[in-house]
Amino acid sequence: MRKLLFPALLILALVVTACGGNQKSSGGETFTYESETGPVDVPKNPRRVVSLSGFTGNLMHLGVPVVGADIWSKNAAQFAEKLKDVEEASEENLEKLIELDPDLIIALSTAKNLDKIGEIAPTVTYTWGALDIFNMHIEIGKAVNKEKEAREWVDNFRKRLEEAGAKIKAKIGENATVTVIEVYDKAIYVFGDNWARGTEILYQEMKLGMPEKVKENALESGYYTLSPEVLPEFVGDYLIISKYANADTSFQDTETYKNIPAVKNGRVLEMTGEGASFSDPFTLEMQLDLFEEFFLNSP
Amino acid sequence: MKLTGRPRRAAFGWTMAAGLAVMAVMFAVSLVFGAKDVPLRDVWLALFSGETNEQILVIREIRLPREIAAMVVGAALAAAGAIMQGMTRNPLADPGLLGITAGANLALAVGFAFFPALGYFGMTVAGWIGAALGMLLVLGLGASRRDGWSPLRLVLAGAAVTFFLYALAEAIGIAFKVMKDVSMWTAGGIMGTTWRQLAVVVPVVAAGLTVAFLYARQLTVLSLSEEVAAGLGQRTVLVKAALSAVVILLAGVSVALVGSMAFIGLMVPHIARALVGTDYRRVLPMAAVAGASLLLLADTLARTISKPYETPTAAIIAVLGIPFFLIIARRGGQRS
Amino acid sequence: MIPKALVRKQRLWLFGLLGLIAATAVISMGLGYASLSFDRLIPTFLGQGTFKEEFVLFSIRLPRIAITLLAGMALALSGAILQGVSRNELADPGIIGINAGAGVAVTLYYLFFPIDAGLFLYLVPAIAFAGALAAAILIYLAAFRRGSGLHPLRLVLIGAGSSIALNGLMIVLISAAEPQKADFISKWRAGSVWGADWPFILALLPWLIVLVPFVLYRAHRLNVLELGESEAIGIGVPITRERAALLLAAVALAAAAVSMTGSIAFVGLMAPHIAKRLVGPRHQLSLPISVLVGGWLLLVADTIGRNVAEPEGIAAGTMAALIGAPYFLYLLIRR
Repeated sequence: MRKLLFPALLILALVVTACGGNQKSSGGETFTYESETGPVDVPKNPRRVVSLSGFTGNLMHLGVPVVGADIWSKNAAQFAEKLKDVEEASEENLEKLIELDPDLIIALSTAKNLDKIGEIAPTVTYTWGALDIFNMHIEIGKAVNKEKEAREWVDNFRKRLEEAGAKIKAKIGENATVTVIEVYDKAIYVFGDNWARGTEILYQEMKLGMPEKVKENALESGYYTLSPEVLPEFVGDYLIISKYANADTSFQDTETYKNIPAVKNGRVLEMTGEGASFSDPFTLEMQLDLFEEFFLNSP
Repeated sequence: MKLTGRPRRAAFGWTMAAGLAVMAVMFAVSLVFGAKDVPLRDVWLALFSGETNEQILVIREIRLPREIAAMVVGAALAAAGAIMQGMTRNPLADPGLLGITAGANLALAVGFAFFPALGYFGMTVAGWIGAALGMLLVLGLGASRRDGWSPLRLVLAGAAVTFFLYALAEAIGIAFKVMKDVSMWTAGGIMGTTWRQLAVVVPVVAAGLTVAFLYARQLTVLSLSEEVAAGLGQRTVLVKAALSAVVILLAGVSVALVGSMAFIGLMVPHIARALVGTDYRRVLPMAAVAGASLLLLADTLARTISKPYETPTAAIIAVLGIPFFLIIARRGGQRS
Repeated sequence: MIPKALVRKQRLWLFGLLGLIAATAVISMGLGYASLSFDRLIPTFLGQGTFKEEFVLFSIRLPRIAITLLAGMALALSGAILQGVSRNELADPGIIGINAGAGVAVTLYYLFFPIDAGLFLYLVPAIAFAGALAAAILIYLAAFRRGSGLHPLRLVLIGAGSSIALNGLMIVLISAAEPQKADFISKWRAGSVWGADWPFILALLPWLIVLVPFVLYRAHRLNVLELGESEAIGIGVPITRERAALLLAAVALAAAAVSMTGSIAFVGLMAPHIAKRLVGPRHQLSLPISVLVGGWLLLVADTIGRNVAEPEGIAAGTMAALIGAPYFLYLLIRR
């Protein structure tokens, strides 16, 4: 009797497991997307996408269901409502990631554990800054099978930008200059024309002017660290500040700052730092609205 | 060693004068050089006249408070270190080694996690309290009934308490998601010091230094031997308590202002003692002056080495400090 | 020579601990954010689990359990050596500055070289070891005196001071780094087990395979060294060379462990203590027990830590400090 017990148990175990779930849910057909790292088989109709960094806004705008998002996106003001019920996902917590049961994962090329992440679900990575913001959006659109929608938005938005640019220039003058800085922790950074925070749409699309000093120092490298001592030299006719909540803004109390022409004339726009570094449609549209209001209504 | 008193005193006078001169020069240098070099004339005007122009404003509003902070913090930390080394008869004592920064760090974590509305001043006070607690823990646990603060116990207690408090801060930081805020504060640096902050810091440091100086004679005796001090009728408990309070005050306010700045309290007293001997009535002022000069120098270097980037001042001091520490440790056995 | 009863006691503890470790490992395998409950463990082991279950067990939890065990063992052994050689029951590779030395090396490397997921990861253990060794050598040199050799007290004193100093340096370096890198370094300092994959385990294993027998073989020498200078000289043990060899082993063990798991202190402190409480002071008996206790302790710390908070929980090193530091301080007071 004893001898039969063990094999019986084994068989029972096998039967039970056979009845239980089996392979990973593939949810339908796939197509091959040519990503940075080679061809990836991605679902034609992604239903559970996890965004590990940076591109959450793009995905949401394309109407893709996002079930897991990175903490920075969740903290961004413009996404707080939309991502309220979305779980926080991180490249470090693989257990949570697999528990979310994604069918597509979008991440930055510098993410950790990419090989393991790639085992959980088809993973597409992008290098930040490899493509300009519009082509990036189109690429993402391609990866989730929404290329047409992506291109549509890009074309419309660029048209809108052209019009806005003309209107603004009409108001502030052909040669007026704008400076974009960000205050993060105790440092001040000034940006060139391709480092988010609205710089692409201001300089590249609307073709607004950039102060000489900014061109010299920030155009090539993308950004430049400033000391509050030299800030005045970099500020043009208009100043846009991306401010993080916990940043040290004591420099704004100094006479040096208050004597900057742009500040004296009330031509300063402050926007929240959290989320300003994204370049997705939601963020860009929000920034465009802010900018239009600012330029057209300031003294 | 000379046996007559007078030559020594004269020598001290000259040394102090030289020290003050060095400090003045460093002060000027720190104001002139920076992300943008300002001509000496403008510096003069900024300090002594009411005139304004762009350069002068920069000096007055941004550099001047910062360099004054450097002087004050340098002096405070150096004095705190000197007192600690004297009190514990341990050449390796330094406020950073004894739980102060760790305590401040923990207090900040708690502050950010549970009282996010505290604001700058509140956080400073919290940091202060934390620093005090950290140091009290270390001093308390590092003392043994038999022989007071042996160097070994103190440093070990310091290490253990530091680890523990950091771990605790870490746990709180992760659980309440305030890690970034805390580390930003602790790695702070002198940047962005405002006149308002100085209004608090300068009087406190001045008070601390004064009290320390009042006890300097007793400190000297204590630094030689506990028994001798007691034998001479000194109320050692009172003296130690007062001096500990001063150390907490000086170190705590420094950490709250500029974050973690280790090694000043370690290195400078040694330099001071090498210059003026072991009488703490001389060592303390010398240490204060030397500490101020050192931090001014380090800060100037920090701002100019890789313009316009700011190398953290603390890094420069650490680079100087670690070899210094090892050399002292190697040689230092005789004096403990 | 060693009383049979004592040996038997030790053997019992050895088996007991192995059992304890196995049980804890099983518990750890069943705990975590993803749902892999205990009743699914055996089926998954037998290859009958879903993809998700197999992934969680074999790619996430098991490697982590394995590396934690190995690291804990290495740290315990390192601590035991340090305590024996320095004749100071308060020694631990974390407190003495070995971890900090490794940390500074890793931090510097990380600041100057880009985060390339592939290549970088495999170089870090080597870098960590180089750093730990450099720190150890500097500390050793600072503590060594030509006349009197290596005074144990000075070693601990200088080591502890250096540890805090180097940690301070790391904090400063963090502040100069980009947020991404700064994040990694902070996690390293906290001892979050980042090297939890099979290749890392394979990298760590050789160290243990070589060093553990090496040390165990010399266990009796440790007994003598612990007695004291004159006794050791009297018995004819070549102290300085012996000490140096053992210390080198201790550094290597600690550095290897720490390079995989980040800075973890106090395991090397507690494990030898507990071992000695269980089987007495003879190192032939206590070293193997130390090793097992260390592995178990770290496993417990990590298991609790990673399940306590989101998203990655509290680092093993932090847990170890939270448990270990009070214990350490208690020892300090009691002295």
